[in-house]
Amino acid sequence: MSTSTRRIDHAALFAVLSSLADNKQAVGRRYAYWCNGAPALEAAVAAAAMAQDELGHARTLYPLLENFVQAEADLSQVEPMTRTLHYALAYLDQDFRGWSDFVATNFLFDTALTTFFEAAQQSSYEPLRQRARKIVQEERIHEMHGEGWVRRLANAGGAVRTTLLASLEHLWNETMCWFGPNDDPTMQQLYSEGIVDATPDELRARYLKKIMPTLQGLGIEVPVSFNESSKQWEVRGDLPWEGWNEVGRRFEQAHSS
Amino acid sequence: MTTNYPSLQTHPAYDTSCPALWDALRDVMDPEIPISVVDMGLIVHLAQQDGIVDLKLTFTAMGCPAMDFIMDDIRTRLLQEAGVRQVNIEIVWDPVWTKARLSEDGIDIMRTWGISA
Repeated sequence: MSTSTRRIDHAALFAVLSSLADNKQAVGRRYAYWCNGAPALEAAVAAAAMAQDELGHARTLYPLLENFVQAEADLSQVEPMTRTLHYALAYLDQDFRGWSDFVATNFLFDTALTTFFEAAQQSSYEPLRQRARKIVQEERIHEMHGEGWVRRLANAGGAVRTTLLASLEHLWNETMCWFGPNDDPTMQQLYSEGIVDATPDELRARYLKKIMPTLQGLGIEVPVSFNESSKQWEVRGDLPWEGWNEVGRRFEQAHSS
Repeated sequence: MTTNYPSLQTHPAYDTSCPALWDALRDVMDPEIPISVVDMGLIVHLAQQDGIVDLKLTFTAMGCPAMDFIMDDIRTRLLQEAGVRQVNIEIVWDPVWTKARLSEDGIDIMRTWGISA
């Protein structure tokens, strides 16, 4: 491991990179469980391919951590195999309960992470800028897969649709919170320094613009409204920040439903 | 694989475009498809100075399971070239790999194997 003496002192960037890496790693591991358990052969192949992509994204993100002053206290935390801190969503702490959890993660959370990477394609932090462009390229296929399966399960009706809705609801709040409250000092610092080109609220709006046409078209109700004056989708009501851990960028505990 | 890189005949040894090294890299094959890393468009930058080769390499996918194999093969092959004593490889993701990086030979090979290119 390098012992560079020119480490970057940037707690906010270190925190978000840690979250991105942990979430990519966790999503990849959860996807991997379904490589031979998906409901169709094509879906199993896709699960394997997407697991490989997600783990690849994590593999390119973790090495960035050791370039930070914040890693010096415990260098074991920059290696996925020795890391004991887990800054992935609480939702990902547990095995998926079924294929609908896979689809919900693919459609909701993976797309949320991609929204962040899209906002980093012109990043002032060059290592993130490089990786963001490649990740966005690879995630286009993931988005198509997630959207296709949401349509398929929703249109199936009956218990299949009900199960999908439960999975989407289970993951909804934590995904929306991942961008942080709009005054989140971590994300605001990244925005002010040009590391990403959007505030948390703007990221959420961009994200909703990506997913809402599908949900709306399928008649899936979520607590979101379209603001006619701003021409943007906005979360209706307050998000549950009381359960939000701003360090881990996750809920304190997995939600039960 | 026998290579016949035309620029070998026209470039002097000190040419910084490293024609001999490019030719050597055409011996390094992708483990999954019989196509060289050069024709695949994985080599982003290649420079040599005082026996040290600095190479920037990209991959088609961030999760490519053959990354280590390919880097080992590149290092092994380049170290066989006269005067090369060290090979530094940096993985880069910019430019993003697309099929536009395939060489014309590479496109032919992919089509031969039934892969859209």
